[in-house]
Amino acid sequence: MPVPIQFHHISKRYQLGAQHHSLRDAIPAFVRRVTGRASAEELKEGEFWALKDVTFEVAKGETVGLIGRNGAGKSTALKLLSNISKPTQGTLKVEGRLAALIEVGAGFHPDLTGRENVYLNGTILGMKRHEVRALFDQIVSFAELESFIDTPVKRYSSGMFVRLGFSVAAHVNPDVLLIDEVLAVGDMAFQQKCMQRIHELKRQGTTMVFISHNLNAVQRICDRAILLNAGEVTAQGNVADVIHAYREQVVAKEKKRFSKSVGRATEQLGAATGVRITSVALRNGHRQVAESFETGAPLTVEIAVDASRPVERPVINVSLERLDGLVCHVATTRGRNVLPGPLHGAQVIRLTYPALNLQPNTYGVSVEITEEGRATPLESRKFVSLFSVTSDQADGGVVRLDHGWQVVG
Amino acid sequence: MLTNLAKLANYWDLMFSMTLRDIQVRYKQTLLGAAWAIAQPVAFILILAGVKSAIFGESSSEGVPHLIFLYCAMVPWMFFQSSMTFATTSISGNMNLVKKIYFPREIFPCSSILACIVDFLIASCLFVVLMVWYRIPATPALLWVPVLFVIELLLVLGLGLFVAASNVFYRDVKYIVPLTIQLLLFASPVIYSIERVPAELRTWYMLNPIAVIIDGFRRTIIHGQPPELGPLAVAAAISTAVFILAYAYFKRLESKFADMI
Repeated sequence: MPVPIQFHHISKRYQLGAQHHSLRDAIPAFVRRVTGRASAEELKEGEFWALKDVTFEVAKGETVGLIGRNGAGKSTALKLLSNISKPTQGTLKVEGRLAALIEVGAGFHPDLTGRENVYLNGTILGMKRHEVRALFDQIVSFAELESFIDTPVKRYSSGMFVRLGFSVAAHVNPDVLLIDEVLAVGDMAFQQKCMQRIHELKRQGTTMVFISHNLNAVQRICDRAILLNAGEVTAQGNVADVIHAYREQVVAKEKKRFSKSVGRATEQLGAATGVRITSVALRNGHRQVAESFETGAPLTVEIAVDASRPVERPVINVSLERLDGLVCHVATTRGRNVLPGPLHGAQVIRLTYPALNLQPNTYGVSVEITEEGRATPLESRKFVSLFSVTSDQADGGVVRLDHGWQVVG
Repeated sequence: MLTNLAKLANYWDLMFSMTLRDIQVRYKQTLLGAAWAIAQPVAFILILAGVKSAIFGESSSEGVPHLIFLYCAMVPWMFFQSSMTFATTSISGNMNLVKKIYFPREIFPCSSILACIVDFLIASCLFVVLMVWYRIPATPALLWVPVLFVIELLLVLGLGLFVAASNVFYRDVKYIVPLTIQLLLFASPVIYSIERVPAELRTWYMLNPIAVIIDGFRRTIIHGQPPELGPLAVAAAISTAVFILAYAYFKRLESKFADMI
């Protein structure tokens, strides 16, 4: 089995802040370098490891997802793979024709027409001009830009620009394809088309490395995943397991950040209105504080409030949101007569979901306190608490709906 | 270096596209378009010819009218000047590409220079017209012109690679280059005849390859004489050395371009 991508014990060091951009800084630095000792291992002031001893391989036809928080080193890994920059240490081998879907339309020149740019960008991505000519009509029709192809791209809408860029890149037919967060572009229909094209390339046996914050896309496309954290590999293997590890990492990190910010009472709003949320706790069916819940198991949200002035007709809204911004549910006390006023002093309000029918993912709890007839909230906390949901069922989507199957006839 | 050059052969299509881009972009949204390739040197020599006859009261140089005397030097000079100017920012002005996609980085300065060759060829067409107009006979000495051009090209490519790479690291280069070009304009027989250079300085003067090349263009085209072979050999040696050293320098720095932000 050929292994077109071999990434062995790679480290990459970068310098933070200003480098020597003018001769005035460079000459003394040069003198220091000549007279002093320069070591490859040590970090000098202002330097950091973007990648540290990272090893992985990708077999022929395999699709591997690289996931991790911003700054974890994913894009650095891709830059090294595509030969844009060189590793500080380690050995790297990439075999076959390589193309990178890193920033679509990076090679476009605004003054040139769509047609001129297709040729330019195609050759930049490694095609020959006659290859571009052969695929030209296909590229244009994929981008749905037949009637604008002789217009300078500076007059394109951003959507048209990106469509043409992706279309050129998607027709390169490389042996190894690197994809960095390109699916975040275009409208839904176009994104669908991009996914189809990626699946098609996958079927053709293209070896792919895929970077995305869209974990659903990673799950659908990748055969294997690698989790990077601060330049190091923290999990590797089965996609579902690695995604789970990533979610736990995110929750842990957000928790830490939140507990810090609550201590410092950073919220200006509550301080101004005199109504503050002092804590929000998530409890499971056994009344224990938890961060991880099974789909269908009970969840209780306990909100401690401190109101320094009476709120006559209080309203509390609690929303459960996925980290990608999808609001899955909003519970409100408005119009339900469950929260008789006034709200005054320290009080604890409990919201119970007897069955949390959310699919596995990471969710944030946002809490808002307002008053009947008031336009702005008295107190608002976005993602005050985070939790993850796990399940051993194979069904997908956003929520779990009760359902049953029958064989009829 | 030879392996690098061999690799470059795979990128000929890209080189062509980038050159085409540089040409297309240069004259997009201009009314005169590629006519600027002629209008620029012509405007410059008209001014110079005016100054020469109005202020210095000379009606001709080296026995030929100012116009053709100046234009003959202006065509290779403009090639040198615009190549240097465009090559300097060819990489630093394309950092978006440098940071996103890999290909041999010498394609940037080389394609800027190739685009300048196109301007050179357009400007040369007018020169042929001028030769016919002023009845300058075509002589076998014209065969030297390609030789002179190749020497100039080697020099321009070498210097272009050097300034393009240096400008990525030190933006000072962008300011030094135009100053140096200005200095070279006065250190080369472009706006004056080489006969004006004092004989005792001549040896030193001819160490400047650009001076040798420009004088060579005049000698071979206007006077139908071969260039001075001694200085020409020195100029060829310097140009080749510049090219080889600059290419090695460029290749050594190339992998660090993308890390410079």
